[in-house]
Parts: sequence; C-alpha cells; structure tokens
Amino acid sequence: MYELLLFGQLPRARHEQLLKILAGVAAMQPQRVLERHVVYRPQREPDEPGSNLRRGASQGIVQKQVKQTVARDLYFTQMVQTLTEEDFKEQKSAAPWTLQFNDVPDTGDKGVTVRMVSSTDFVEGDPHAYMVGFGNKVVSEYYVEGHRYVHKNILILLHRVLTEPGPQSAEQSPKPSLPTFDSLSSLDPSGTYILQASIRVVDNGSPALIDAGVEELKAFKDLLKGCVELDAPDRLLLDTRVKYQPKSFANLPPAAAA
Amino acid sequence: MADIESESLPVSLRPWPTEDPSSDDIQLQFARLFQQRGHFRHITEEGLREEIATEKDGIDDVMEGVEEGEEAPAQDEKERWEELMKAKMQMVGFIGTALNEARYIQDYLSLLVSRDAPKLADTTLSPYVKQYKLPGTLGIDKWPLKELDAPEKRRQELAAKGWRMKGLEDAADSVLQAATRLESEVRKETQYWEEVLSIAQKGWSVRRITREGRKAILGVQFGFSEASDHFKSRGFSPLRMDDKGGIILDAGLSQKPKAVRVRIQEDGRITGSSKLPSADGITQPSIEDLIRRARDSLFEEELYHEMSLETRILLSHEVRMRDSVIHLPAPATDESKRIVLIDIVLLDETLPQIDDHSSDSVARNVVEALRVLLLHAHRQRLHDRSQTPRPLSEQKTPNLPPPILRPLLNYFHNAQAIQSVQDYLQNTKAILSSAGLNVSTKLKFDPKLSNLTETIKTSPTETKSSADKLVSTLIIPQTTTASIDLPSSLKSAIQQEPLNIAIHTLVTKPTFGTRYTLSLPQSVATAISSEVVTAGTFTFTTLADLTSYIDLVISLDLSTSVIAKALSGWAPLKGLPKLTKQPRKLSPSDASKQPRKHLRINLEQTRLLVKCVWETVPERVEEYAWDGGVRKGKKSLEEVVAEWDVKP
Repeated sequence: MYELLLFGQLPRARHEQLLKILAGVAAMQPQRVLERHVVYRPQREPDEPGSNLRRGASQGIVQKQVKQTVARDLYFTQMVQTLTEEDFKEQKSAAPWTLQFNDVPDTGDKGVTVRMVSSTDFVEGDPHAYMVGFGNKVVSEYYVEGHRYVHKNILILLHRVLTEPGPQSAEQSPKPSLPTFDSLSSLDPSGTYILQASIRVVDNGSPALIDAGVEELKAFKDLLKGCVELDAPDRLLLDTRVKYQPKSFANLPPAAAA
Repeated sequence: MADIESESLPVSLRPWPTEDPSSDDIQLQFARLFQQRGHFRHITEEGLREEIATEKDGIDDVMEGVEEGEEAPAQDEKERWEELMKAKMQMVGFIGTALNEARYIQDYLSLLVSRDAPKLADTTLSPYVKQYKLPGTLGIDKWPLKELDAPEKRRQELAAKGWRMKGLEDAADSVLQAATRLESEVRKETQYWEEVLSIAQKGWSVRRITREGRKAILGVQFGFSEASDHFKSRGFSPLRMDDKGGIILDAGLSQKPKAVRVRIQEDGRITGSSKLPSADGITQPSIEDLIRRARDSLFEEELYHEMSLETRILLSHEVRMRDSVIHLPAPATDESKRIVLIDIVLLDETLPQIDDHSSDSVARNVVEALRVLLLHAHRQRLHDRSQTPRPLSEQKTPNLPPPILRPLLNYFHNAQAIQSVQDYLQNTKAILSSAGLNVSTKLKFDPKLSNLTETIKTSPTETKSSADKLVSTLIIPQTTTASIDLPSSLKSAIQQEPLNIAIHTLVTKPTFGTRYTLSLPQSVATAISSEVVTAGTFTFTTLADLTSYIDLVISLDLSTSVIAKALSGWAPLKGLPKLTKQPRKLSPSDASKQPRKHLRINLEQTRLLVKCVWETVPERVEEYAWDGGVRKGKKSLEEVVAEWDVKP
C-alpha cells in the first residue's frame, strides 16, 4: 500500500483553535488517538556500504563473473498499540498490536511525500517474541497523543509525540506496564503539535490512482492555506534504514585488534 | 564677423521685437528687472555706479580686443584661418537648418492648400511627402474672435453664479440623501440582524457561506448534516434582506410542508392510516415557524426519497411503486393480504376520510419506525465516515440506499413466520392433547432482545450512543426459537430434549427469506430411526416442508417410542410410522390363528389419524381420528391402540 503524506507544524497555543477549525472542515468531532509505539531494529549491523564490491588486485584468474548484489538495507520497524485513557489509568493494556513498516519515501517530487507502508495486525500470540524471533531488538518506545479526523479520503492526525522522561534505559523488551499519562512529557519541549494529512492508496501499479490522491491532498493543502502550512519534508528525514556506523579500532574486541 | 563670433545664435534670422505698447507697464519692468538683476536687496547705489563704470570699461574691452586682433594678424594667421573656416561651417549648418524648417513649413502649407487647390499644391509639395499620398488630409478654417459685449458678459457671470448655486444645492441634497439612506440602511440592518438573532437564539445554526466569486451570504442551516447530498444542499437556506429589512423567504422555506403517510390495506380495503403531523394552523407564520416546517418537510421528503430508491432493490420481495405509492407486502398470516401503502402528501391537502380504524396502530408504528430508521441511517453514515478511510482503489464501493424498508420488511416476514410456526405448534399441541398426550410448546426470543439493557450498555470510550445500539440491535435479523416436546418425553423418566425450530429471516443476501432450522436431538434421532445417529439440524425454507417433517417426526416418535414401548408385540417399521404385530403362536398347531395386524399413525395438518388393518380376507380396517376438539368420551391414543391390540 502507498501512503501519501503532508506535514505541518502547529504551536501549542493554536492547538485548540485548529481542533475547532478541523472539526468544521471535516464536519465531525475529533476522535481521541492514543498510541504506543515500540521501535525495533535488526540485531545485525548493516554491511559497510560498498563491501559487496570486490577489493584488491585481481590475480588474473579468469572467473565467471558472480552477479554482484547490492547490500541489503536494514530497516527499523515499529509495533503499534492503540490505547485508551482507561489503559493509562490501569497502567496496562491488552489492546492488540500492529506491526508497522514504513519504507523510505520515493524519490521524485510530487509535492507530497509518497512511501510504501505495510501494517499487519497481530491476532494472537506474543508479538515481542515474534519480533525477536525474526532477529530484531527493541530500540525505544514512545507515545503518540492527539486527535483524528477523516475528511473524504484524507486521514488527518493532529498529534504530538510523548516520551517517558529521564534517560532511556536499555530495555530488552517492551515495558510490561504503562506509565501514567501525566508522567509523559512531550518530546518537543515547546509542545508543538504536528498535523499529518495522509491518504492511503492501494498498490496496484496505477499511477492515476496515486495522482488522484496527490490532487486531493494538494486541494486539502490549499484549503488550509493561511491556517497551517502543510509541506512534504525532505525524504531523508523519514529514512527508516539503519545507518552504517564504522567501528572505531579502539572498540574492537582484542582478538580482532590483534 | 565679430557679431557672429560673439553671439551664439543667428540673431539676424529672428524677427526684430516689435514695440510693445505695454512695455511702459511698471509691472513688466519690474519683472524684467528681477530677471536681469535678481532680488532688489542686492542692489545698492554704489553697486550700480560701479557697474556703470565697469560697463563702460567692458565695451572698451571689446573694442580693445578687436583692435588687438587687427594688430597681430601675422602672429597666427593659420589659427585665424581655421577659426574662420569653423565659423563658416557653423553658418552653413545654421542655414541648412533654416532651409529645412522652411521646407517643412512649405510642405505643411502645401498640404493645407492641397484640399482646395490640389494642382497648385502638387507643384510645391516635396517629393518626400508626396510619396505618402496625403493630399487633402489637412483642413483649415477660421473664424473671428468676437469681443464680448457688456450684457453678454453679465449674462455669463450670472450663469456662472447660477451654476455654482445649483452645484451647492445639489451637494446639499446629496448629503441629505446620503443621510436618509444611511438612516434607512441602519434601520434595515437593525431589523435584519434582529430577525437573524432571533433565529439564532431559537437554536438554529446560522452561518455564512462564501461562494466562489460572489458575495458572502448569511443563511440558516436547518437540514440534517448527514443527509444525502441532494437533501444536504436543500438544508441550507439563505437569509436575504428585502427593502424593509425583513428576511426574504427562500423557495426552500416557503414550500408547502409535506409528510409521509402510511396506510394499511387489507384485502383491497384501507383499514388504517397514520396520523399526519397536524399543520400548526398558524396563518401568519414567523420565520422560525417556517424554518421548522421546512426542516420537518425536508426530513419527510428525504425519507420518502430514500424509500423509493430502496424499492428498486426490493422488487423481488414484491415491493412495488405505483402512482407514487410504495406498496409493501406485510402479511400478518399466510392467508392475509395485508399491504402497507406509503406515500407523501401535502399537509394542508384534504384527504378522503377513512372509516375503518382497526389497523391505525400498525400504521402509526410503521411511520414512526421509518423515521427512526432514517435517523439511524444518518447516524450510521457519520459513524462510517469517521472510520479510517479505505485506501484509494479503482473499485467503487456500491452506494446502496440506507436500510429503511428492509428492516421493516424483515420484521413483517419474521413476525409472520413466527406466527405461522406458533400457530402450527398450538394446533399440533391441541391435537395431541385431545389424544391424551399433553405436550408443551415454548417460544423463546433472541437472547439479545431478552437482556436488552445489557446489550445497549455503552462504555465511555465507545463512540456509539445507546440509542444507536438499541436501533441496530433491533434491526439486525433476530433468531427466534420455538420448541415443542415430543410425546415420548411424557413417558420417559429422563429429561428429553425438545424439538427446536430456529426461525431466522433475512430479506437481503445471502438467503432472501425465512429459514427454519430444525435441530433434532440425538436421542430422538436415534429412537426414530432405531439406530445410532448423530444429532442433526435440518434447514427448511418453506413452512410446509417444515410442518410435514415435524408431523413425520412426531408420528415416528408416537409409533416407535410410545406405542411400541407401551404395548408388547408391536414392531415398528424403520423410517415409517407403522407398526406390525405378528400373531402370537403359542404352539404350532394353534387353530385360533390370529391375523397379522398393521397399525399406522399419521399426524396431518388438522388431525391425528390412527389406522389399524387386520390381514384377513377381506381386509378389516378401523380408524380413529383426533382433530384437537375436546369432546367428552373421547378416547386417548393409548386406549384406542390397546383396544385394537386385544381385538382378534
């Protein structure tokens, strides 16, 4: 499935105002959204870029050229759980989890961000065990709090990212209990809200469908002109690939250093 | 020569200034002085004297210069020659310019003349101008400049004065006019805004809409926000101002109010009608009254519109649209031909009176149900709209009309099915009890309905309201269970499961009708087929199939579990409600040979028939029937069979 996206920023002071404006635009009351996101990354480190290319001088032995494949990229994935206020009161939740994967946005400037997404609902079983079983490890957790509207095909999400205060402890698995809602603090200290407008398009290779979605999203952008400036951010800001970090020699284990 | 050198312009070509008669004028002299000398304050007597003195010297200087030039010609004769040549060149240039000017004038004049005397002009016109072929394009005329005489002057002065006065008067008038206009505008605006305010205070939502390229207008929103597109746009009425500041009624508001009417027709006769919402009888309705009327009327019209769209997909259920009247079959029982007629009528129309009011309550309930269903459809639409939208795809989602007639039809069909099954069970029960077998029947409604308060309870996080839940619970097809005990359960000590009939009606996909699911308990199934079988469920789509099957099951139950167990010697036939008794042979040489006997038990629609056949020649047949009527001296089934059993 493709996802077309536009983002806008909103100072905290205008949050209430925009909630009302959007309620008028979408002709519906805002729906509360509370989500818990757990970020996973593969346990394996990514290969060094270019490591697949042969290095060193050839010995002149005529070999059959092995097809050189590009090093596979490794991606961050997320597990998302939709929560309610009640869950925060009870500090635990049995809500189902969803596995979310977002690709790097497509190149090409359509005026909106276009990326492949996939989300899979876990029906039963232990999602964390599944993720670990596939060679992933927990990186961090964060919470999304905000409101949701639907305007025709556009999903409007006015939200901000909340995190638990204090240093991130190196957890091996998602925390079994939820923190209280009041203890969460905004990731952005100024409390800025993010307005995200998105349209999902089925992936059937039809550019006309994507164009129709782009048009609708742009029309929405024009509608909100002067209220919130929606824009497509640089695609590499939404990069979900794991970056290669060269190891310094000092950190190498002694055997390798020798 | 000296002149040419000292003066920069060929003054000689200029006309000599004529003697100005007004040159003595002191004003002119002042102006000239001012130009020449500058301001008076710089002029002093000493200064002037000095100047006069120097002027004399200056002239002397000029003379001296000339003399000097004459004195030393040999000094630089070549220079002098060059100077002279330069001056000559300059002079030639000036003459050329003058000639050019003169030619221009000549061309100009020739062009002027060319209108009247083209031949003459042709001779003087320069070839350059000729090539443009412009003769006769310039005109000339002259008229005398008349000196105004005194009375004329005076008249003109008077006219000017008059114009000025008139202008002032006009200005005053227009200011006054503006003031009056402003006043009336203020009055108009006040009146208008007061009316708008009164509308807003009554709770109507007044809003302003800007249409592309047009002035923003104020209007009142009285329609339902989730109505279908056509009715949504009609739910907004602009509030325009008339000359006096009142609100002009839009066409949408001033239409005659309408309402949906439901009538019940039984066997071609109208037996009941819903009460129309009475016209409020206000002859001079205020704007709020009109808005309320328009709102009600719009709702009724939308209801009718949605229903008439829905009739198209219900043609297979014999829902018809004839003369703008929706005919919805709603049989109460199998035989009756009850039809619900739905149409829309003007409220102030005089309608023919109906004498029969026997089905008024049905009609009233139906019309209320229709309204609740449309409101529910509105709420459902909002709910659907609020869900995460489906990803864009080329597949269009079918736009079905909201279910309004379908739940109603479903209800009628279901009620009829339940009634028919119940009637049948009552009938069977009566027949069996007249035969001395007091079985019991039961009717159980859907568990969702029996604990309705539990079903519609909402959690605070849920977006659906209790009312929505209630309606959706009621319109979801229900499963009703009817049950009847088998006659054998009266005899057996252990509790036996009854026959259960689940009745489920769906007017839409996937079944298109009533489905009767009979669940046969394992014990019964085993007993009647005299071998071990698993409990089974059988689904019937018509009542006749169901009843004949139940009849057979009861007959089998009677033969295999009641008679065969009560009387010895009777062997039931497999799969048929028949029993056979072989003659008992006490000894092989028994003379009193009894004939073989067959017993057949048959539960039919209206009676229970027991038939006994003796295999003699000729055959002897005796039968006994129960039809449910209670009469004295009527024997029970067991008594009858027992009699036959011992009868030779």
